[in-house]
Amino acid sequence: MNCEEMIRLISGYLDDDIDELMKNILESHLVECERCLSLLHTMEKTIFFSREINKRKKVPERVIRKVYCEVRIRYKK
Amino acid sequence: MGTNGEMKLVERAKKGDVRAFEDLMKTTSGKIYNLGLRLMRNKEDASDILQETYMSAYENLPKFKGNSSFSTWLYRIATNFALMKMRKEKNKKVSVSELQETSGNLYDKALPDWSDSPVDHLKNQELKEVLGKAIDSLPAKYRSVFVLHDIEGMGIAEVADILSISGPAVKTRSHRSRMYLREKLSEYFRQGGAEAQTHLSKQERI
Repeated sequence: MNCEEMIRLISGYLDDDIDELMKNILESHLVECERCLSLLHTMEKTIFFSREINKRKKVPERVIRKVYCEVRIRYKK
Repeated sequence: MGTNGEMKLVERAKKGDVRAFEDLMKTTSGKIYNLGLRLMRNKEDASDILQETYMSAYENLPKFKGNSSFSTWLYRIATNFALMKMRKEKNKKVSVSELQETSGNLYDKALPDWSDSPVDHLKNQELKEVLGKAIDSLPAKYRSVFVLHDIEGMGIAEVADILSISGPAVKTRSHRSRMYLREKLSEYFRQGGAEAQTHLSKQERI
């Protein structure tokens, strides 16, 4: 299998969503191919950075209060 | 909260117990607000989505049969509201053909390995903006998959369920989104971000 075919396996590999055979083929390829290995690492880092810039924030108090109010009004009807 | 506890609250809320609905909101509002924030990347839209989601959940509660968890059901409602908002966005989106190209035609480009970049790089506002803008520029159906799968950390089957698409469609959209965002970060490091990287590495050695 060539690099292009390997690239298609990389996301599945990161998701642990490829079968053992494909996993072994990809891992053997990664030992020999720096470019694909670099792609794997940078893709992993992309996901990591994306999570880091999207850390959980607290719901603003006024927002949650407004929603509670709306719900109470509807329950009273 | 376990699914049983959640279902008991749902049953009470269906019978008109407002406190039960409020308890359901207490355990889920953080998740829904953050989902809205991650999908829309601004507080106003995230707040609207939170409100619209609970109003819709209240209206549709009698139809909720518990085939999925209450949280998953809310996620589906919230994501649908977000998708409607995203489709009205005016910022330029990357085309599907460009996404296909980025995920296929790769090896004619230099491929820097910036995976050793420290997380400190995210203190760099420019890098945050590059990545944030790149996520924003994903078309709605790609951004929703990326956010649910890679940021919210949901499994492929759950994402497929929430978006009412097939598992293979989730995998394809996820892979293309990752490849596109990875390429945008690579461009950043190729163009000048590398300087920052070198500078930081020197500082670390000192």
